[in-house]
Amino acid sequence: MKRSTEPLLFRYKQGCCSPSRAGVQMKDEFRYDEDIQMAVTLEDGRWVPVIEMQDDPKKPKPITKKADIEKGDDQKDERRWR
Amino acid sequence: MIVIISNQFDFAIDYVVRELNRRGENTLRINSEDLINHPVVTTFPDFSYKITFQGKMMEINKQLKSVWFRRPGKPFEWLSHKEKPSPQVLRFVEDQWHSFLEGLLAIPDVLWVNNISRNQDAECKIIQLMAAQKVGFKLPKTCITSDAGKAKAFSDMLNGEVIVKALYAPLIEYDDKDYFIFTNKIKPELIDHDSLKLAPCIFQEFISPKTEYRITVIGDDIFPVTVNPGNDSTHVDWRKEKCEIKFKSCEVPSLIKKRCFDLVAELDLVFGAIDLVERDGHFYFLEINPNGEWAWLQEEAGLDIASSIATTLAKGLEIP
Repeated sequence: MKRSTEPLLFRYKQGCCSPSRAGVQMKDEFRYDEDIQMAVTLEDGRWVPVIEMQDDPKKPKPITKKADIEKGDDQKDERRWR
Repeated sequence: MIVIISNQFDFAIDYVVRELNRRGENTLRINSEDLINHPVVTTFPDFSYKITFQGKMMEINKQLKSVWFRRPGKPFEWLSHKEKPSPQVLRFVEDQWHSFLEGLLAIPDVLWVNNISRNQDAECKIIQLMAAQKVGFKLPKTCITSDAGKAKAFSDMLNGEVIVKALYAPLIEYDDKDYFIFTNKIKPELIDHDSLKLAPCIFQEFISPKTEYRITVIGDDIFPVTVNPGNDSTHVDWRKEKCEIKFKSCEVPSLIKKRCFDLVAELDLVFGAIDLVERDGHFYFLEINPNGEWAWLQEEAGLDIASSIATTLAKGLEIP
C-alpha cells in the first residue's frame, strides 16, 4: 500500500481567489505615488487615491494578493519576512 | 517620524497613511520589496541608521517614534518566475534586507506595532491558547496531535463533533496558484495515521449553533463586530464565505472587553484581531491574529480603525 506523502490537511486545501505573488502586477491604470505614499488611479483626468476611487463596475479594480485576505483570510504572512 | 513597513499593494495601509498625512505626521512608508532602489547606511561607533528616499538620505534614528510592522514585501516579489534571480540569490537578498530592517529595533524608545518577535510568538496557536486561558477566556476542548489514535479518541469523546485546523498559517503557494486551508469538520474515519503523522493538527470541539465575533484591539481602543455569514449559525468557518458575509459593529460585555485587552497585553502586543464565538451566553476564544486584517471593517462596519491606528502610532511611547 502506498504511504501518504501529503499532510492530512492538504485534502482540505482550497484555491485562493487572489492571484499568486507572481500573478500580481500593478496595471497601467494604477501606480504608486511616492509623494503621498499611496496607490493612485486615474479618474476624470486626475490621479486620485485608490481607496477613494468611485465604485464603477466598468472600471478595472486593482488586483492585490489580498483579495482573500480582505474577507478574513488573513494569515498570508509567513514567519516574519519569509 | 512614523515608519510603516509593508508593500505597495497593501491598500489597508493607505487608509492610515491618508490619516497621518491629514494630521501632518512625518511618515515614511517602506515598501520593502522596493528597498533595492533605496540605498541605506548604518554607521558605528556614532550610531546612525539611514535610508534614501526620493534622493534624500533620511537619518531615521534621530526622529523615529513608532514603527508599524505590517506586511513587508520581498525583493523581486512581483517579477515573473522567469525574470527572478535564482532561489539562492533571492534567499540571500531577502535575508540581508530583513536583517537590516530588524536593525530598527536597535533604536531606543520606539513603539512597535507589533514588535517583530512578539508578533511571531503570538502566531503560535499553543502560546495563544495558553495566554487566553490565563486571562480567563473559556476554550473549546482542544487536542493538538500527530497521533491518529489520540485524534480519533478525542473525536469519539465529542461524538464526532470536531473540527480540524492548521497549527500555523496554512497558505500553500504553488507556481501558478495559491491555496488556503480553512477550518473543516472532520469525520473520524478520515483521520489516518500516515498523513497525520506528517504534521500535527488542531482538533477542536465544534461549537454550534453560535454567534461569531471579530474583536480588533489597538492600544486603548477596541472594535467588536459580529460576523454573520448568512442565516446559517451552524457553519464551520466564516472565512469560506466570500459574498454573503456581513460584519456589524456591536457591543460585548465589559468582562469580555477586559479579557481582550488583557490578552493583547499578555502577548506583549499593541494590535490584535481576536476571534471569539458565543453560545448560550458563554464566550469562547478561538484565536488571535497579531497582524490581522481590518480594512474591510473600515468600510463595511463603519469603524474608523485607521484613525485609531494613526493615533496610536502618533503617540509613540509617550515618554515624559
